[in-house]
Parts: sequence; structure tokens; C-alpha cells
Amino acid sequence: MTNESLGVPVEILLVEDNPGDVRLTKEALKECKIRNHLNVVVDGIEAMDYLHGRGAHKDARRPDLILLDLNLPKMDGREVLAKVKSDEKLHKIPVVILTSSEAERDIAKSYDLHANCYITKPIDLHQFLTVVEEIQEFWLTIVRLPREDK
Amino acid sequence: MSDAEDLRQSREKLALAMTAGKSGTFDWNIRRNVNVWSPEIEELYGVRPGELGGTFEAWEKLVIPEDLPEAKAAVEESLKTGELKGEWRVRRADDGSVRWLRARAKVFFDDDGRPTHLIGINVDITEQKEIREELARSNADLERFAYVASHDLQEPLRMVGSYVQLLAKRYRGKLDSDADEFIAYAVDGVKRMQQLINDLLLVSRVGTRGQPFREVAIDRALDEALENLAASVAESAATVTRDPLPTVHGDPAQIIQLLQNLLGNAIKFRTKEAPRIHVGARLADGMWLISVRDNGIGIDPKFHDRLFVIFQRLHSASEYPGTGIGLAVCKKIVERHGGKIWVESEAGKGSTFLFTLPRETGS
Repeated sequence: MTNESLGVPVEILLVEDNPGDVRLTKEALKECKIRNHLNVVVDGIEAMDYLHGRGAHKDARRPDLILLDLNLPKMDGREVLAKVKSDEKLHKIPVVILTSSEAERDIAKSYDLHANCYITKPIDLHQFLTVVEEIQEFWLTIVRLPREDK
Repeated sequence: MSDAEDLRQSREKLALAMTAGKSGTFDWNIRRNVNVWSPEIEELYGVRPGELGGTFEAWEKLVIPEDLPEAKAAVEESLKTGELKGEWRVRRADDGSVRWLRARAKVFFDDDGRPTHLIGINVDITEQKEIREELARSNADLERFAYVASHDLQEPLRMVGSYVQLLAKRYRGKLDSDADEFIAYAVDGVKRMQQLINDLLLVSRVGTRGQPFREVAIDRALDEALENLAASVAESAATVTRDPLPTVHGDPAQIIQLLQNLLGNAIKFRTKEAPRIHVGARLADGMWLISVRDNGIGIDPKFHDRLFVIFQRLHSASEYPGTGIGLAVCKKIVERHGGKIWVESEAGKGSTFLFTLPRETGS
């Protein structure tokens, strides 16, 4: 059962090192219809700790959706993506790449590493808000997510 | 002057020309395996006069091991096709330095079709190779710089733009109308900056992302450019006519871009009349001279040299939109093809943009 179907807020993991973007995403998610709980980590190593329930993130809840920036300190987003998608316990979690890069090679590489989808952060605020809302709507209401084997 | 003197002078001139051009000739008698080297080619390989064994094997020893298989294959191929073409590295016998040599030679056959002589030239092209490698490195650097610049410059800009817009959204009606105006200017400034950064990237990419040249039919390039401009063509009721158009040697995507920018301008800078544009072509000085003539607002001659400079605009953004890189891109594209671009125009009398492009090799 996903968190959502249990009436519990949806857990979203945002992996983003730019505090400005974190705040923007928070603002955007506030406007969303679905009850969601946003968890933020600021680098790739912290992301893996969170996903494996290690250290400071011992009690982290498994995310229903991961929003992942590509350019991160300590361990970059591409490595996080590769690790998540090659880990049996994690690979079913949808990973949405949310990055400012529109470089063809970044897009290709992300899909190569099995990102569920790739989104370039819109420059305009209104478009950004719309995109975050649509990510939510698509991945958390329209799409069916697999049952979690605990 | 006697014939002998004539011949001596002729030989001397040839030797001088060879040395100046860092070239040298050889004559390999295939059946007897005797390779006769001119003094100039001995100089290229750093061998003392007469020192070389004068056999094929002696030459092989001078080619660096890495390039030897390819060099030998080229020679064997030439014995069938009659022509030798190749480039490989050799190690000079005098100081051990490595030089790039280009070989061009012709095979002579006897009446039974068997190869008897391979006669040709070696040219030292080390400098050209090094320059080309440096250019490639420089381009890679530029591309990297452009990528980093676009990325790193856009980020803070996006923050400014987004948060100013968020302010507007959050405090709409709660701040006075001055605030609304200030915010509007800020947001507009951000949008323009973003456009400028994108345009800078476009110009830099003419060089760094150019494709290798091949056959390009201007007719088809023009069709594609018009297709890309379909909306403005329809909206302005523009008519575009053309002379028979040639095939040139160039980068297809860039030539489409070039035509598209010129046609787009012809449509944009129009008078109340519907745009009438004519694309013509003729040969001039061994290149194709292509013209794009319009009946638009024209350009005062005193502005002609500013036209192709990046970001130089002759009109305000409210009169005609655009950042002013269209023509800078055109100039870079034409120059990459070895051509020139210029304009013939007067205010109120329309404009003709002219540019040259290389003929398709073999045409």
C-alpha cells in the first residue's frame, strides 16, 4: 500500500542543494491538493543515508516519489540515480529528475540510468509552480505506484 | 640560353620550390625495389645525402611503428588504384623528432598492367596538424566555457526572477502600484538577461558545434527555412521568389539558419506593404554569390557596418523585437564557410543582403 492510499500524507524526497529552489518547491507543493510531506536533503550522500535509513535519518519514511537535482555536492545526482535504480529495495520508487540543465547529454544520461522522467526547471515562476503541481498530480494521482514490500 | 642551362635553372627552381614548401619527391622502381630520393625529401626525413638504403624497407624503418600498418596498406592500395594518398608520422633520422608527412603519388604501369614505378611527393604538414589540434582543444574549451557560463549564469538569474514574481504574487494588492511597477521592471530585466545569455550561446556555437561540410542544395535549405518561418510568412502575407539556386559545399543546418535569419529579418522589418522577397544566385570569383532582396524599410548606409556586430540594434525593442544577434550569427556562419556577407540598402528603399559560399567540390 502506498502512503496515500492509507490516508497518510504522501512522502516526497527532494534532493536539492539550492535553498532558493527548495523554498520554491515548498511553496509550489503547498498549493497542491494532495496532502504531502516534503523531506529535503542537500547532497547525494545525505540522499543515500536517508534512503537507507542511516545516521541522522534513522527513522526516515520511505519516499513515494523522489525529486532529484543532477548537480549536487559530495555525490552528484547521476550517481544517486544510478544507485537508486540498481538497488532492489529502492528501484521501484519513481525518480523525477528536476534540474536546470537542458543539455541533451544530461537528458540522455538520465534516461540511460532509468530515471522515470526528466524535467528542466522552468525559468518563469508561474511555469515552475505549474510543473510542480503537475508532477504531483501525475505521479501521485494518475499513475499507479507499486505496493511496497516492507 | 642553352638547353642545358635552361634545364639546370629549371631544376634549381623546382628544388627551391620544394624546399620552401617543405616537400620532396621520390621515385620508387617497384620491380627492382630501388627508391630514388631527391635531396629535398632526404632533408624531410633528416637523412644525409645518399645515406638512405634506397629500398622500400629502408623507408619503412623511418615510419613510426604505430602508423606503419596504415602507411603500408596505403601503398599496397595504390598499386591497384594507381594513386597514393595518405598521412603518417615519421621519425627523423638526424634528431629523432616526429614529423607528420603527407604523401601523394602516382603509379605507372607497363603494357601488361603491372605497376612499375611509384612517383610522388612527401610534404611536411606537422605545423598544420598541430594548429588543427590546438584549434580543436580551443573549441572544446570554448564549448565547456559556454556550457558553464549558461548554467552558472542562469541559476542566480532564475532565483531573482522567480522570487520577484513570488513577491508579486504573494503581495498583490497589498503593496502600492509603485511596487507593482518596480516588480514588473525587475522581472522584465531578468527575462532580457536570460535571452541575452541564450543568444551568446547561439553565436558561440556556430564555431564549436559546426558540422563537417558536405553537399547542400540551397533550394532545399530555402524550403526548410521557409517552413520554419511559416507562421510569419502567413501572417505578413509575404511572397518569396527565387532564381535557380545552386548546390554549395557547407554545413546544412547552418545554411538553413543563415537563410532563416535573413528571411526572418526581411519579413520583420517590413513596411505597410506585404513583404516581397527574392532570392538570387550567381557565380562570382569562383564562389556562389547569393542575394536576399526585400522591399522592407531599408537601412541607412551610415549604419551598414554596425549591422553585423553582436547585440547592436538599430531600433528599440518596442519597435522591433529581438536582441540583435541574427546578423552576427549570419556573419559567423558565412565566415566559417570562407565567404563574406554585406548589405546594399538605403532607408526606405528595401535591402539586399549578399553573401558568398563555396561551390560544391567537383561541380
